[in-house]
Amino acid sequence: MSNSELKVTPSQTIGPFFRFGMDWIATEQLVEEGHPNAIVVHGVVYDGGGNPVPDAMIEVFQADENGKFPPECAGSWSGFARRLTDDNGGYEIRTIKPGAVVAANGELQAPHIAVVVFARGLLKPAFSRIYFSDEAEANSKDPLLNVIDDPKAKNTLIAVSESGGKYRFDVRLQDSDLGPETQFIQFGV
Amino acid sequence: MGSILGQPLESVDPPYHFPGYQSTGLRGPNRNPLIIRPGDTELHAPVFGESRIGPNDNDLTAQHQGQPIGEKIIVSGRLLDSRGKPIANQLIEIWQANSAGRYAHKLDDHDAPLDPNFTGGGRTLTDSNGVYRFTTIKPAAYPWGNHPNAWRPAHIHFSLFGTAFDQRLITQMYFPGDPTMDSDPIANSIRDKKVLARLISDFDWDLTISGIALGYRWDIVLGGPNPTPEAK
Ligand SMILES: [Fe+2]
Repeated sequence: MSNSELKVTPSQTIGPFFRFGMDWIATEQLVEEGHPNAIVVHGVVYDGGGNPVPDAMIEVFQADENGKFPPECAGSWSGFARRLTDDNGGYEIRTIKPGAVVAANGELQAPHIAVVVFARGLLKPAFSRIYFSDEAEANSKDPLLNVIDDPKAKNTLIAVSESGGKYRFDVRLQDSDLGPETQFIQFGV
Repeated sequence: MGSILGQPLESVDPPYHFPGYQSTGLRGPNRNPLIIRPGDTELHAPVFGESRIGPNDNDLTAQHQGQPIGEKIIVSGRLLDSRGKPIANQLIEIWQANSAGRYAHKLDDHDAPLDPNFTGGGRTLTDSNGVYRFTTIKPAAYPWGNHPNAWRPAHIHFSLFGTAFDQRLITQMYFPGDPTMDSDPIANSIRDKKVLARLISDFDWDLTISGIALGYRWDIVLGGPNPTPEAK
C-alpha cells in the first residue's frame, strides 16, 4: 500500500527553542490529584552518552478507564498529555491505567499508553509504548510485547512499579551505560 | 489471529542519523524499530475543542500592546490526510523567531534584539475544510553553532495532529527563494529535493491584504497507515 497518494509532508526536528510555543498545555494532568485510581508515570530522557536530554518533548495518548477514546468517551477525558523535559531531562505525568483496547489483529492488549518523543537532534518522532510491570499476566499475553524476541528490548517498554502509585519509565534514545535503547515503534501496514 | 507485525510504508522522513546535523549523533536511535500495524490507541487522536483557543492565538502580531517590527504576512493552507481528506477541527501550533532572527527563549543567545511586541507562538484549529490561517511576521534567518558560519534558513515550526496518534508530526515551513537553504543540514537531511520542496511555501497574491500583509500558502499532508477512521 502506498503512503504517497498525496504527497506526504516530511518531518523536521523540533529544534532547541520550542518551549514558548509548546508549553501552554505542558502542565495539564490527565486526572485530578486525589483521583482514586491516579498513578504517576515519570522518568528521564537520556542520550547515547547517558546524558539527560533537557530539551525533549514527551507526549502520551491513552484510553480512559473503560478503554474509550475522545470523542466517544465520557466527560472531559482528553487522553493526551505533553511534557517538556526539565533541566535534568525529567518528566512526570499524573494519569490512570487505561482500560483494555484491541490490537490490529483484534486481540485484547495489556494496559498501555502510546508515547512519542521529540527533541533537538531527532529529525523525526520516536514512538513507543508504556506498559506496566505490575500487569505481568496481561503483559504475557500482549500481542505487541509477544513479537519482541529480545527480553532486554521488551523490558524497555515496561514502566517499573514503585511505591505510592508511581511508575518509572525512562527513555534511552540510544544504548548507553544506563541500559539498552528504548524499543521504538514504527507504524506500518 | 494474525500477527500485528507490519510492513513499513514508503518513508518521506529524514533518517535519524545525518552527519551534517551534529546533534543527531548521540540522539538518533540506532536500533531497528519494531514495525507494527497500529492498535486502537494509535488509531485515535486527541481532540482539542474551540474553548482551548484564544482570540489572538492565530494572530501573532496582536498578542501584545503594540505592533511587532517586521514584514507582516498571512500563512494559510489546508491540513489533509494522504487520501486528500481534510482534517477538520484539529489543532495546529506554530512557533518562530522574530524579524531579527531571535527566539523568545532564554537559551537563544543570538546577538539580535528581542521584540517586546512579539513572542512568536501561535495556535489555531482547522475549519471544516481543513483550512488554517495565521497572521504573523516573517521570521529572519539565524546563525547556529553546528558548523562554521552556519545559518538556518527562515522558517516557521509547525506541530500537527491528525485523526490518529500515529500521524503526529512536527516539521518546519520554509520560504521560497531562500539563499541559505542549500547549505542547511536540517533541511537537506531530506535527501530527495522533490520531497524537501513540500516544506517550501508558495508566495500567493490571493492571500495578500492590500496595504497590510503579504501571503504564503502551505498545504500539509499527514501520512500514517490509516489515513481516515473509515479505513480501519
Ligand atoms: Fe527554528
